[in-house]
Amino acid sequence: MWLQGFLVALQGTNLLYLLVGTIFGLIIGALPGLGPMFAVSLALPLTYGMPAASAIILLAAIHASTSYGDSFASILINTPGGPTSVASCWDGFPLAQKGKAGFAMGISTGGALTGGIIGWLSLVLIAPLLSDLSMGMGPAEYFMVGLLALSLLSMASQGETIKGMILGAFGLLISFIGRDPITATKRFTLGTVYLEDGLPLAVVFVGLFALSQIIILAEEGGSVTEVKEPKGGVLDGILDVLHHPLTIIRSGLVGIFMGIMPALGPSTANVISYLVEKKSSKHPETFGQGEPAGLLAPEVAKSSCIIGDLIPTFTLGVPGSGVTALFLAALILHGIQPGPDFFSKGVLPYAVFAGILLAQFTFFLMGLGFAGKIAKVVLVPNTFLVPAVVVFCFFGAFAVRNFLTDVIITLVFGVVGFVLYKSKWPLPCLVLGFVLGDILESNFHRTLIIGHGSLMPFITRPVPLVLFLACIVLLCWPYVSALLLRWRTDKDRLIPADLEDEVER
Amino acid sequence: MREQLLKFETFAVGTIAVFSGLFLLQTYQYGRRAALFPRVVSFTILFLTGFFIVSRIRRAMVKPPAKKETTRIVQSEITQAGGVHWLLTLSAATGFFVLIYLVGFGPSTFFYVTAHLYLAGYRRHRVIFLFALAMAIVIFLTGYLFTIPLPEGVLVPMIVGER
Repeated sequence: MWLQGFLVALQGTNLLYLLVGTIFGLIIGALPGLGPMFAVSLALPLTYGMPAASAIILLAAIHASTSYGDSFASILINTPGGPTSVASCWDGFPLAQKGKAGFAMGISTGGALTGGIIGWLSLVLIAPLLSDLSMGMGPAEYFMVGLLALSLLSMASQGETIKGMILGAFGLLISFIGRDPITATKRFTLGTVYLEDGLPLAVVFVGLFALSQIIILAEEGGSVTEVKEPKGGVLDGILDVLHHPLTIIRSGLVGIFMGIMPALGPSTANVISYLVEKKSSKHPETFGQGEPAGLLAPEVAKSSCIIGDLIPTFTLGVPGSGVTALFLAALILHGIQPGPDFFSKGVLPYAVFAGILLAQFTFFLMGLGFAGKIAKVVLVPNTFLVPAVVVFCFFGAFAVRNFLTDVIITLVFGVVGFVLYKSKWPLPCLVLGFVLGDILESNFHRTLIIGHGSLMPFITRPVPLVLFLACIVLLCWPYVSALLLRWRTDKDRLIPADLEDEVER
Repeated sequence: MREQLLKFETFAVGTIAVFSGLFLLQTYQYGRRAALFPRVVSFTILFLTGFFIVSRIRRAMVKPPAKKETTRIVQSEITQAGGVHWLLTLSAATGFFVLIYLVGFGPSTFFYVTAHLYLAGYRRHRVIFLFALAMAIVIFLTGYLFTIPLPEGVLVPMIVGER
């Protein structure tokens, strides 16, 4: 069946759709604010007349390449192409500034392929198992996963704990704008219909990261890098990926885990994997200054999460995110009923899975061929880059929902991002709070409803209890490790003194 | 001490505190369930910002701040690098938004790019014109290809008449 599936996916028309989808996705991905959701929703109506396999292959190619293309702007001009590649800026852009833009693009390309393959393997090999796991998770578990992710604030705050906590809480607060997820009460909407849906993630992120960075580039003048001779090419970056096997494993697991959890998507996986990698690193101080692992981790996690997201969609018919909901719609539209018996529906599911794998290689080959040329953007004078990116920021912010008000939100958050960046406040904390707010609140209330107002489900169920203990360990670890270090230093200081005494005796 | 207190980040923290205070007041209009999380988070922010401001005051009282002489030097370096001051960039971007509202996305892209390049001190008129025109065309084509209904501006229907 697998062979037949690959043969279908490798048919001439399907390969053409793969190519078209990849190019389309790369263009959309590179535009600030526009991500997979926009690209897939735009392409979905175009697939009506297509054969089922071709339609899903086209959408899979668009999905994968949009996410990959999102990182271009993150690395080259420090403006995320979408919410899924925010963390890619943090070490990708410093690499570009050092004249290693091609190398960084190589890491992104290799990382995206590796993550895609990990995600695909998990989709094919352990999908039913993972689906069972995700279905066994209730709101109490989701709340604790969210809390665990939030406890990474201490890591994201980069030594500025109080500032990080203030920003994290501020992120949570602005995520509460709009209708309450349980009672649908309008909160902080200022009486406007616009704010009832809350602040749109993509629009806020375009402002916070893209517009603010462009203001900084405008101030700096010159170009992104003054290094005319690039250090390391795309191929070097791809090969460097192989030197970080543990990073790949860690980020791949984070990505799959976040993928199979409904509501926790690539935007969360991207940030969490970066923080996990920083926490696991022996040299966390190098993060944020062009550390290759700091770029690789979010890239791998994002790609594996995107495919991990498809696991509950295909095997249970439960979409994990907005994009996978579109995939579900496309499957049903083309007469494919997702569910536990998905694999027993002839050659079509195998062709779809083969197409998803081929999509990873298509964008990889495109990246291999063109990433080096795209990387030359860093040499364009900021005088030209700035107005062009501002135009695309506004275009992207508007195109998300076709609201001109979204452009105002982008402008406001652009100023907020600029101010926070200039005062060296840890912006990742704001992202973490904003992304996790809804997950925490809705699942907390659901647990209370299930427990008839009691908090006991949080501690009587094994998984939430373990996760809660993990939160405590994570929050206390910096203080415990500092105490341990002091104890060790004291001990080391004592030993030579003892030895001296013995020598004297 | 006064300088330290007036430092920008204290102002930013104050703004966040006021913002969360207003949120907190608003929560008393909501039901218990809808108010719980915003209230807890608002209280947390107020506590943290209070702690932050107190710690800054204590620090300012202990150690007098060294006078910074770098501001003017950095500013002159920025000017020399051909950069545009942040306020100008932001004002141009705000102007761009107003133009979008008035004359639509395509024409305002042309005007904005032209204005920004002039503000940045670039004076090769032909290049400016061609670059601004190219950007406007790219935006128009992207909008057309991806079927994005770009705003036409409120002035266009007034001049051309409702279509």
